[in-house]
Amino acid sequence: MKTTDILESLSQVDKKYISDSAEEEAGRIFERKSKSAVIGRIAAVAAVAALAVFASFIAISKRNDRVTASMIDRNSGLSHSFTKEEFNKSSYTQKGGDDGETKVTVPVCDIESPGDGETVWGEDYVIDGGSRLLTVDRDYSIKYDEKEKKSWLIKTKDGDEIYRVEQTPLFTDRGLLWWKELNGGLLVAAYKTMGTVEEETEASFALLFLNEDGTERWRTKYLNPVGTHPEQLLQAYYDDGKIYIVSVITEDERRPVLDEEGYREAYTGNELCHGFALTVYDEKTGEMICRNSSEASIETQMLGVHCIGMTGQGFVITLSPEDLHDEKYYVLLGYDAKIVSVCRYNSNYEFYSASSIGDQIYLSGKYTSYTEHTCPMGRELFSVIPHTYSNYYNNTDYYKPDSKLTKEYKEQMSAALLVCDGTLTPVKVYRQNGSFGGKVRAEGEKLLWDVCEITAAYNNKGGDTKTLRSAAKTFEINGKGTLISSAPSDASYVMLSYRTATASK
Amino acid sequence: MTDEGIINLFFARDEQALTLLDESYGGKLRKLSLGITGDKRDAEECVNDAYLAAWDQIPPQRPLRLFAYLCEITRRISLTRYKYNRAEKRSAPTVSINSELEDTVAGTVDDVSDLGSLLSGFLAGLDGQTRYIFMRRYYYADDVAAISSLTGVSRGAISARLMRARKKLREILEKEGYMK
Repeated sequence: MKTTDILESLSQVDKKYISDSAEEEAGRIFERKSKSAVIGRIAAVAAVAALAVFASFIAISKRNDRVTASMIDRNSGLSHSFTKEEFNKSSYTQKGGDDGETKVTVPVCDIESPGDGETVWGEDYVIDGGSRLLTVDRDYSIKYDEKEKKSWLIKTKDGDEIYRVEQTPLFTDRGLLWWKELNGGLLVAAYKTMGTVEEETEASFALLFLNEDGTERWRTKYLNPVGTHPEQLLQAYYDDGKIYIVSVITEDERRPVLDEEGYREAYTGNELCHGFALTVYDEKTGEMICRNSSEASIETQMLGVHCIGMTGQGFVITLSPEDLHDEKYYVLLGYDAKIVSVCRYNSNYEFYSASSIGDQIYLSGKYTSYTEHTCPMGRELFSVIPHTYSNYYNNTDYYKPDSKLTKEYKEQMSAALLVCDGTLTPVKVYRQNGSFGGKVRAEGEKLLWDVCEITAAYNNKGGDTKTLRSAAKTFEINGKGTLISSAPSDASYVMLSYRTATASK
Repeated sequence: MTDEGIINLFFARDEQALTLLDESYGGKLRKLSLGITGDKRDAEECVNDAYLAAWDQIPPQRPLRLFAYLCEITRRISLTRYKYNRAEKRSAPTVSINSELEDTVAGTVDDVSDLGSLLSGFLAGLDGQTRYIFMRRYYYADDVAAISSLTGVSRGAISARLMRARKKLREILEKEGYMK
């Protein structure tokens, strides 16, 4: 007997079992014992609406009291206070359709800051991407046929050049798309773009794994990753001898335009998210182990798509849709590349690092108390600085201790750690004022959360960007999501802030 | 348009029936096929083949439940495609629903006659919720996360129920003499 015999024979079972297992029967068979259902029953029994409201209040309070009591360990020595916050969680279908919004009351634990730390100016820790093993840089010095010819360089820590990728003239563009230190080597994604007479481009990429001395461990051939749609590499992760490459599949947006011949479809120049792909490579040989993909038609700005972490449940990807200037989608992509859930949280929260312990997913980021319309600074967006550029922003000429800007950031920004269940539904939140959240990472049975107290904020040379520097400390959280302790850290995280076009309105 | 309306279009040999069919059920059928074949392009082809089969069979057939009818055709075609890919050692990715059942069928005989009746008996012995989860997983090829979202049961609990159900099925196979 083969496994497919079982699957085939299921077609021969009593037809009522097939019809009873249709999607629409789920509600009947699994009567949801949700909070509202419980409240509804109480209301029915009491036949008094006011009593039902009161009962629901009691039910939520008791539940939250139990949760808050377990949020901070008694021996941690950390001062804190509890509040509650109604969290809007929007769920979306895989095709991007709105499935409606649910309100979840989540306990919030505000941790009091132990005091002002000192700015760390040393070597930067990068929240995601980059490498401290080797340096990747660009060389703009060479000119070719009056066209600028750029080279990508990889150097050792001593400054010795060990690898160079040069662009070729005319229609071919080559370069390094992305790099990351993994398991004692540097994984590099190189891209090659071929132009055609229609001025359309077709990008392909190759992966190469360099040892610390610059020798190649392996490289793949240039691939056009998918047939009909281009693909952009988002992030790579290493686990147990495998390299996981998370990428987004894009498509060009087309909309009807009116011209002399009437309406016709035309490319708008925007890229839309068409779906995601997960490709797994053998770390030792570079051979592809498997590749899966799924569709998710979400209108988004491609620059706003990031993979922020690998968890036990899958990969957390953020998307910034074009029509939602202050909100993001958070997509949980399973290990089979299928979308587990797509959520959108309150706009005051923004997360850029994800990890997990057991059944819970943790998202680290920031919480801002202002909105686009009330913020005196205008609305700010935040991004992690690629390692290559972090030194560029380490420009102390523009740093003024106790500046107004630093004070504003400290007053209005908090580090936030959102604890979610395995489907990204919020369970509870930790916050610390005057900080932004660094990386969240699992170590054994514990979760380590780097919180960065803002110590300096200054305008960068030219442009609207600002740099936020910090003194970091590391919180330890156990497998039950309880904050156990905190300790100073010598790590220094750097965050870049920039104003969006909407802020100038 | 209602299922009845779509079927009437089939009877009128109006190709609009296929467009409406795809709009109504295309997404679900592709998901079902993808769960079995593990390949998006294969899934697309299987669903198209299912539409063609429906076009050939209606009329004279007039299915009472159009979606269930299409599911059945899509499953059959997808399973055939999966077996073909696997036999030819093509690059079909691992299909987890098959690998999940490998322990259940290990050491069983090749004769699978009357397996349908045995499975009916097995399903009758399950409680309603577990039966629903089992059918969603192995008939509709939903993954655990999708079942969790559908039912509100945690993924861990679903995996545990599936594991217990497979174990029970294995016991029934042993009891009914399907072991070598």
